Amino acid sequence: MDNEGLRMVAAGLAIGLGAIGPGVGIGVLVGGALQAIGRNPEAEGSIRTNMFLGIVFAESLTIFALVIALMIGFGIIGG
Amino acid sequence: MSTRTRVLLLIVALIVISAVLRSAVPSVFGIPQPEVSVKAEPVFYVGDGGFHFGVPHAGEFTITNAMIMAVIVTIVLTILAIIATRNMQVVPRGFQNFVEMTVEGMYNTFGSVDRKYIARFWPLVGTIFFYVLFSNWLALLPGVLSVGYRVSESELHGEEAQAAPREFALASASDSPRVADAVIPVGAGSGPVAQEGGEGAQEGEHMILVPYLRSPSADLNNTLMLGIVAFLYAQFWGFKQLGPGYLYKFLPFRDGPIAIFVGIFELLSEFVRIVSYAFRLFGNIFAGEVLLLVMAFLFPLLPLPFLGLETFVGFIQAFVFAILVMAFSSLATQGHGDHSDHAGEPSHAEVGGMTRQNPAH
Repeated sequence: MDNEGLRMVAAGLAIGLGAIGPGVGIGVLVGGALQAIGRNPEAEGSIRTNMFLGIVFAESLTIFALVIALMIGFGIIGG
Repeated sequence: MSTRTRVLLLIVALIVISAVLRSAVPSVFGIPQPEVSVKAEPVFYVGDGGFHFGVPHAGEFTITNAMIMAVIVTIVLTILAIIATRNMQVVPRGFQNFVEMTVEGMYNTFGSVDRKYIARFWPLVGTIFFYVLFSNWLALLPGVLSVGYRVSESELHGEEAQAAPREFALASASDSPRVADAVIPVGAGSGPVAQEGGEGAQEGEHMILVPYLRSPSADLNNTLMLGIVAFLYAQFWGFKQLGPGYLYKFLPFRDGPIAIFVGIFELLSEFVRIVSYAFRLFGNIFAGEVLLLVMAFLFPLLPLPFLGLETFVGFIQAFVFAILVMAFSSLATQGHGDHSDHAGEPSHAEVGGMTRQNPAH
């Protein structure tokens, strides 16, 4: 495999592996939020706001991985 | 004619227009391949003798497309603020009412993070929120990222390399590399561009499009700047509220050896926040732009649902950025192990509206 191919594999792995953890995290987070809404429907507004905040925190990890993947893919880092 | 019919007609018309453009434009101008650039591209250069396009001379200041867009965002915000406050009424109507409702709604939402300090933090937090929001949203307009000049890859990379000697730069500055302006209707949705992207280029050289406008949020310099400002702001309020005692959070020498490590981690996390701020905003908006570009070149109208998604993401990211500035600044004002409210201090936030800031603070 040449250098270019290896770089593509590296970029794919970077975003692919980076998406696993936050994916699980967002699943747990939304599950918890839905349970909370089910138990206490009056608090839906504030739960939803906090849920989105939590999702964004978890998602930002994926975004970091995406930035790294793009950088590798465009050849900015990693030769 | 019902609204539904009108929307359907509009969509059909857009498809027809994009199909016509798709078949007509490449033969006339030649559609350059979509080129994704992680960094903001230079548009023109400012030197001693005014500004000029083309190849930079030595020691000239580069104006990138993200900088132009940042200025536009600032101007738009200023004009909106002037229009909203030009003829202020006690009972607001129309645009003033709308702006007051928006600002007040956001003020109260951010106030739920820290009721006590919201009136002090709001000037910066609100500015960051609306600036980031507009730079995210204005970048979704058609024309941004799709109107620009064409340049061959070698010339752009020649500009990037900047290793060219001055004589060469001066010599080639006379003939501008801008061949022709080209338009890719990204927002309206264009047909798929296959291999003939480089057709317009002479002798088969790969031509790329450098847009005149680019979202400031999709430029790492801009988001890093916001992150550093937010970081300095939190430190400022930490020192202002706690004095030199603020440093005790990072050097808790009285609490035993384990606390020292906690202090080191606290210090580290303060700096990591800059990177985290910068990459979160940059990554989200930049990834959104890449997504829209790819979708636009796949099929007409496919970007439409993604434009909706990006509108949502743009709002959420602006909101999150501002609320993090708020939360971290509010965290910095709390002393070590001091999580209760100061009962003695007067509350600066009043529920239900903007409060005048106490000049004493």
